[in-house]
Amino acid sequence: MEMTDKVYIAVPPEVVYNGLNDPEILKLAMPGCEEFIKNSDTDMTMKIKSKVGPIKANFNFKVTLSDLNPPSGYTIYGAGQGGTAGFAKGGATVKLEPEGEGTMMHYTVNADIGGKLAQLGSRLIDSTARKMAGEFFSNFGEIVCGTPESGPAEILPLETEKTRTSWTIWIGVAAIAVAAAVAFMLMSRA
Amino acid sequence: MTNPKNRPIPASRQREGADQSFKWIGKSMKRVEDPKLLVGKGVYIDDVSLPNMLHAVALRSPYAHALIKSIDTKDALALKGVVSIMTGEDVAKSTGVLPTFSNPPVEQRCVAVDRVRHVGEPVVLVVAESRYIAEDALELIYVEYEELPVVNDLVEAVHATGDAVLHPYLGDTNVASHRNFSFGPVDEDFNNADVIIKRNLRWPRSGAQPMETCGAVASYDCGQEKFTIHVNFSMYNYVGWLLADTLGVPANKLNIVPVLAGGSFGSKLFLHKVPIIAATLARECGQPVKYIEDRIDNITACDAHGSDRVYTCELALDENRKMTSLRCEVIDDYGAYFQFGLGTHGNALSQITGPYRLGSVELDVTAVFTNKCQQGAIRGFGAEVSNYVMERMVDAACSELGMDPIEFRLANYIQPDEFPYYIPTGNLYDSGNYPAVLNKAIELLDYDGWRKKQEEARKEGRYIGIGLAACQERSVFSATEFWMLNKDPGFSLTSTPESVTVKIDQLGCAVITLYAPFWGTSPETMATMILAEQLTINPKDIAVIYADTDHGLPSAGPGGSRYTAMIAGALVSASGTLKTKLLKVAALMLEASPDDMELRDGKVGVKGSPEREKTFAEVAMQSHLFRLSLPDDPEFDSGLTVSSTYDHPLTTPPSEDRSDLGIFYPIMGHMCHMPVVEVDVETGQVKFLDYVAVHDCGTVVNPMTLDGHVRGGTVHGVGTALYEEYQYDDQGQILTASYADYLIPTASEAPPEIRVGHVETPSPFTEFGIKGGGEGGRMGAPPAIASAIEDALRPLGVKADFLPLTPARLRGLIRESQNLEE
Amino acid sequence: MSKECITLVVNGKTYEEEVEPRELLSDVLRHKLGLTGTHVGCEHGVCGSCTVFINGKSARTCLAFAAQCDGFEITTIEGLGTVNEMHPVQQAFWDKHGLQCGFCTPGMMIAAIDLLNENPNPDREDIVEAVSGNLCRCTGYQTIIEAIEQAAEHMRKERV
Repeated sequence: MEMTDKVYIAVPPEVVYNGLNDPEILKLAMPGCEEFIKNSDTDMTMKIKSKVGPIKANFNFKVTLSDLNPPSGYTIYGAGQGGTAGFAKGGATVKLEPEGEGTMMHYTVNADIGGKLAQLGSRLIDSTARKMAGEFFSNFGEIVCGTPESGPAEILPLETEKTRTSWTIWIGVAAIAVAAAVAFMLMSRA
Repeated sequence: MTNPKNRPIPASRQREGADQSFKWIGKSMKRVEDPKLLVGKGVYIDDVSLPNMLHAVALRSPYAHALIKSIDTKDALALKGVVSIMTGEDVAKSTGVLPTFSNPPVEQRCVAVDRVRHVGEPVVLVVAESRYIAEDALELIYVEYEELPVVNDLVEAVHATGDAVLHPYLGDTNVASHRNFSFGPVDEDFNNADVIIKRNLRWPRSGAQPMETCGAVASYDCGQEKFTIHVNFSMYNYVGWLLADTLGVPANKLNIVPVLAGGSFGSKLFLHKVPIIAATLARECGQPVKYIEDRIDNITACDAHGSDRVYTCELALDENRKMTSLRCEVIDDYGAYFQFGLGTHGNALSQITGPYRLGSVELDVTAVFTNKCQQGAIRGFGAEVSNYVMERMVDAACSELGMDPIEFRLANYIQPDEFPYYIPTGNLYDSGNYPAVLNKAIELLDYDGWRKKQEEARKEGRYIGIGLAACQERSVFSATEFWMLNKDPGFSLTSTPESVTVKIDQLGCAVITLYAPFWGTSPETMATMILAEQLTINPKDIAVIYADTDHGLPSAGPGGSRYTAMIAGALVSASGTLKTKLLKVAALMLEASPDDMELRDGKVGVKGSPEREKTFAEVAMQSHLFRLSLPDDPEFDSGLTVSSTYDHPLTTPPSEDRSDLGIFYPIMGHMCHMPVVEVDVETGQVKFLDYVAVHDCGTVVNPMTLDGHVRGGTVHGVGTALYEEYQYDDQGQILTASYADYLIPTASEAPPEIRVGHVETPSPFTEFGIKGGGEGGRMGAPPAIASAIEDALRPLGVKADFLPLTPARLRGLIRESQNLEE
Repeated sequence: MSKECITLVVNGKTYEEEVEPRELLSDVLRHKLGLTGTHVGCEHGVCGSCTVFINGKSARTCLAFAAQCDGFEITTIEGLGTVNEMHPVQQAFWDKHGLQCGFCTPGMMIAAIDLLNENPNPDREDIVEAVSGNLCRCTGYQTIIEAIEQAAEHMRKERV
């Protein structure tokens, strides 16, 4: 699966970038994340418990960051085994550009899933990934900005400036992590 | 008789003609199989339970193509209730490669060793006290894979090399076989052609998907060093002994026990992986082991996916608009293994020119390996595909030349006085009357009425179409089709027998022993009706049982629409011998001459003397237990049981160079399907407004059960044409692994009424003139439905060459043609 | 996994069984109670082969946990009739050739009886809809529909 999108986030790129590199923040924000270990600046291990339709999966992910270019962006790649549920792997390229007081984040995601996840969950993965990412953004936003916001987070496609509302800040912040969440969950079907 | 090749027609061995007045044959007798099934007492494989039985599951590969680097099972072994775990390497210590008809053999093991070649291939086996615990254990097994490049596109597969090659020991290519077969003056016919029609056609991978999966319950007696395997495998009395070889035991140390099968449609013809897994585990654990596929296991790894072909075809016509030659170039995606070799193309060559008088045909076939489940035998075994090809080309010719599809076919048909008829490939069509079948279909449908309705509907902006497909249904295959297209034949078997044993017991009742199983066809009813006919015994006094391989006689079993014709042959033989003895013993009892005796209504009596008769019970009792009352002649030895084996009544070997494939599938049925559909151009939905199917299966033994196959096969064909496809993504992940995605027609998708008509052109070669009809409607429905959709969308110029014609695909085609218009 | 003691009343007979909470009703009926007439075709609720009556309503046993059915009344194909005294639906399926391999048949007949319990005089469309949740690969459905029509007529006559 391939997806390219961009989102506006109303905090400066440095804040976004640092938040994304903080394993404590990411572990708290990511739904079902039981472990997030930063082995080095570029290598991480992640254990996530998730459910896609009828399939429950305990994933062990090896995550690698490359092309590190703070605060402008990086490339992330992850591959995870989910036991009998199958596997997921994917990568994303993230670019952060300052825009006004905030950041425009561009991302391109590539993902493959295999095994039972692909066999049984392919039609559910999209909506499940969105739901998980939405939860992530909500959590991430709360943690990074320190102010809880009400309302469910939603991954939105590119929004025009006229329709921007305050809660898109948190969605926008969280959208960076869509690169990570989506890369592991979305199906590789064009 | 026209004989294009001037080849002699072999003599017929028919003993019972079609032209008789029958008491039972031809009646729609209720099935004798049904009562036990209706009250839930049929024993299918998962109903079999043995004492101390354990349960097995397989850990299956999530990767389409990968090396197996390591397997860690220690956590799984420690789980309470787990009895044994075997990796592919463990299994290979005691169990060899699976049997295959391909030559050179393509190696397949029941559990992958070193490398997995498709998603779903077994990698580790777990045996536990319950299925639940076994599945828990799967979570605790860690397998490390090293991914290899995935090949999932058949055109790409032709060019793949290096790490993308699935079977490197066969060469640095994924081409399993490339053969070119030419019959008759193809080049000449094309050079002289007035018109050449070209089309690209696509037949998608779909499958049998019976409601019951495959399974086995195996036990190993270490005292006798003998295996017993209960399994829903139909060719068990034909090639079951091959499993003994894989298990490393002599064939007389393997007993295969049949069970009822919940459908097969070919997919249970040649079960090897499933029984071998169960048997290997039983030997390892010292207890019986049950191994049943669940539905996902079956869809991903049943070893029975259907033909998956891309065709480039050319049809040559002369200046009289007569078809003279057909050229087909086809790539067929066989998946990861090659168990039947090019058998599905050999099968098609039995009737590749359809009911038409083409003089030459060329088939260029490239079989490729890809990282998908392998192909197996599916209802039609490749000939349903060539039926589709021929009829699509005929429709294309009619469309491009502005010819009426009915007139064109009538003009090109082999005529009723030309049979037996040799087609260019060397196969023989035994009998037929194709115009009669077509005309009957037209009449039943009220074709002219529907054409009028179509015209009116078009004015209203509705898209109604009338389809037509005239297709052959060959029956009674010969073993030569399994190997004759291999470059080197390999095991070139030539027997395709069927056996039966008939016992008249001490009380005058009959027990028929069959050597092939029930899988939804009606073997018990067929055997009962035919024996009743031959011996005048009442069906109520006939019981039918099935024998295991220990008691087995050579029997290829159901498949290729052969069973009824073959069991009839065996029963005619057996009942003939029994009848002779009955007459002789009764003659002695009645002090008459055997020539004056007859069988009548379950009695043996003197012709013309109604009071001088003995019941079967009396004669049987005499035969069984009163030896000293009978002459001192071996023919009166105690008992009244006869076993007979009936071989293929009409088959000849192929020539060395394969320019003549011999007679290998001559009992030739025929069908004409005419569906009427309405296509909703907004949604792409196809609705059936009417459906007529006229079948010629020679002499019909039981019209009710035959119609069942016609209708069931037609609805299966609806699935093939409109809904079913095993889909894989570019990483070889199967996306249609459950019935949520693999769409089998429900009652709502089936045509509300399929009106069946019969024409009977009896075979001169089989007993009673019976021809097979089991593959039924699936042989003709897909092209008929494609034809109907094309007819409906003719104003838009949509061509229906790529199946399945799902709503999405039809919408795409409609949109495309609408854009072209604009 | 710890086991629970449950009671199932199947075809009028009371059974007491120890089951794990995750054990499917289909497995308990087939392998613990020996009632193998109910068949498992897909284990994900689509094919309908596993259908029985639970407290008078048709339900998929492959999607029910036995423990959920503690105390419930269940009717399986074994409770419909015998070879000598068939339920009108069983008889009609036999008369009309409404089965070939017999695997989908138990669930199909339960679905038919469920319909006729609700609607003793269904038209063809009602019947098609009622059995559209049961897959049959053999018959093409037409003779199943005809069988249900015959059974309906017979059962209406019996009521009168």
